Amino acid sequence: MPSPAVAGTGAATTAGAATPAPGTRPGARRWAAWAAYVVVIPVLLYLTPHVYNNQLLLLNLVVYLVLAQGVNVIYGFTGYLPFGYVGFFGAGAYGTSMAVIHLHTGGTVAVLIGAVVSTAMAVVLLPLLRLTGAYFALASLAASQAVYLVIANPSLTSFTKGPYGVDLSRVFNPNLAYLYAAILLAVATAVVVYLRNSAFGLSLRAVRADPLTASVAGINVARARGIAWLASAVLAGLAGGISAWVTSVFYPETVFAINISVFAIVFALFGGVGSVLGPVFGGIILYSLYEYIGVSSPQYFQFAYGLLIVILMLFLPGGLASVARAARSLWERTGGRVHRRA
Amino acid sequence: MPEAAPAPGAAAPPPAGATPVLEVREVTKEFGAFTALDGVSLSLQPGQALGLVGPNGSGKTTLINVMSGVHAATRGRVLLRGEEITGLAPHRVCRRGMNRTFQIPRPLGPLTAEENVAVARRHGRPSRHLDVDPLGFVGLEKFASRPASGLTTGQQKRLDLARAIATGPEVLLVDELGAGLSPAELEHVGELLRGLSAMGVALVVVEHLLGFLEAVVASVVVLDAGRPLFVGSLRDAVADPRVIEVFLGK
Repeated sequence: MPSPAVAGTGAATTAGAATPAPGTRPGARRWAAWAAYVVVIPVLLYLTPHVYNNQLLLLNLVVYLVLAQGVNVIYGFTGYLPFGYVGFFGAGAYGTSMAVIHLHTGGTVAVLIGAVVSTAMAVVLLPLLRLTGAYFALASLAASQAVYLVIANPSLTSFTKGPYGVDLSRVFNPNLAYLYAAILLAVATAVVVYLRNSAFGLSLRAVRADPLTASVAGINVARARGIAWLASAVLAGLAGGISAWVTSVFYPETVFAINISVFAIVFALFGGVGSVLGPVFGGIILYSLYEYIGVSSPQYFQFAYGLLIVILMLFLPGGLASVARAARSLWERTGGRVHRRA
Repeated sequence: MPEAAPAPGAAAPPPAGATPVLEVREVTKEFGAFTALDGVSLSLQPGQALGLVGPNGSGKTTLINVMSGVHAATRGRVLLRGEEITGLAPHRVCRRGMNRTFQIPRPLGPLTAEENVAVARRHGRPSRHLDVDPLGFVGLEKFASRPASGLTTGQQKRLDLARAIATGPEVLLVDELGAGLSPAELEHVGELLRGLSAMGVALVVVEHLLGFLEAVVASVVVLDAGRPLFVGSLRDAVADPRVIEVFLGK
C-alpha cells in the first residue's frame, strides 16, 4: 500500500459528511446536506463574477477545485498519489483542441471529446496501478511528460501543431465555459459524496487500508482502483478541455506544466483528502493566497507559499477536514452535556 | 484420510463417490530455487476439520496462500466442489466459497468492525451455510462501531474470522488463530471453530498449539520441508517417531 510521506494518510476517515452505518439508509437531513454540498458552492462561484469582475481568474480557480476533487478521488480513496495527474488535464486540453481544429466541432462537443481522449489515456495507463507508492507517483509523472513530448514533437506539427501552440479563438465562449466549469465542480463533488457514502466507496476505502485483506474479502481490487482512476481522469480531462476552451491560445507546456499537478495535490491535501468539501475549501483558500501573494509580493512568492505549505503539513497533516471533524466532535460532546442537563 | 476417532471436526462419512468440498492435488510451490511445497495433496469433506501442523518453514502458510489464491501454485491443482480454482485471484476464490484468516491479523484498520464485515458480506457469496451475524458470532458486537485498528490483537483475530464468515465460505482456512491468545480467548476461539464445523463449514486449521488443535480437529497433515510427512489422527501423529524427530530432532 502506498504511504507517501505526505499529509492525509488515512484521512479517508475524515469527512465533511459522516458515513452512515453499513446497511442503513441515510436520512432526509443527510441527503439535504449532501445536496447542499454539491450545489451551493458551484452556484455561489457561478454568481461571483457579478460581484468580482475577473471571470478568467475565477474559472482557473474552479478548474483547480475540480482537479483537487479529482486528486481526492484517486488519492483519498485508493492511496495512489498521481504526480502525473496533469497528463489527463493536458490530454483533455489537446483532445478538445484537436476536435475544434480537425473535426470543426463546437466547444461543448470538443470538451466531451477531450474527456474521451483523457479517459483513453487513463485506460492505456491502467497497468501503472500495478505499481505502488513512490514508484507509481514517479511513473505517472513520467507518463504525463511522455504524452507532453509526443504532442510537442515538431514532427507532428500538422496534427498537434507541435510546440507552436493551438488557437481555439473560433469557438471562444467564456460565459458558457464558466457555466460548464461550475457544473463540473458540482459533478466532481457529487462523485466524492457518492464515494463517501456508497458501498463502492467503502470498498475503495477497504482497498486503500489493505489491498490483500480487501481482495481476500472478495473485492476485485484492480477493478475498484481502475474505476477510481478512470473517474479521476474524466474529471481532469473535462477540466482540461474547459480550460483550453477559455484559454484559447496555448502551448503544450502550458497544459502539461507539472505545477498543475502539484497545485491540485496541495489543495487536496491542505483541505483533507477523503472528505467531501476539504479539497474545495483548501483550493479556495490556497488559490486566493496564491493570487494575493503573487500580485502583492511577487519577489517573496515562492518563499512565502512554500513556507506556508510546509507549516500547514507539519501542524495540520489531516488538512482542514480534520479541524472540522474535531470541531464537530467538540460540538457534539458539548451538545450532549446540554441535552443531559435538560 | 484415516478415520477420525473423536467427535471434534469429524465429518459424517461421505456417501460413496461424493465429491470432496476441497481437493489439493500434488501442489508444488517454488520461490526461485527454493521449494516451499513439494507435491502436497489433501482432501476435505463438508464440515470436516483438518489440522495442518509442522515446524516453522514447513510450508503451512504457503499452502494456505496457494489455496486462497494469494500465491499461484507452480504445479498441481486446487479444486473446490470439483471445480478448478487453481491460480484464481483471492477475490474469485472468496466468491467461489473459500476464505481464510491471517497468522498476523490484517484488519481494515480505518474501517469500523461493522464496516469490515459489511465489505466482506457484500463481496462474498450469498451465505447458504452460515445463518449467523458474524460480529455477534465472534463476540465483537459491542465493538461494531470501533475502528478495527483500535481493537486488541485477539479481537482483531476474531474480526478476521468474522470477516471470513461474512463471505459465506464452505471452506475456511484458519492460519494460527490461536497464537498469542489468552487461555480464555483460546477456549472461545475453539468453540467458534467447532461451531463452524457443526454448521457444515470445512476447516483447515494451521496451529502450533496441539491442545487447541485436539479440541477442534479429528485428523492432521504434518508437513516437513514442504512435503507431507504424516496423515492421520493427531493422537497417532504425536506418537509417530518421524513427527517427533521433525519437531524435536534425533
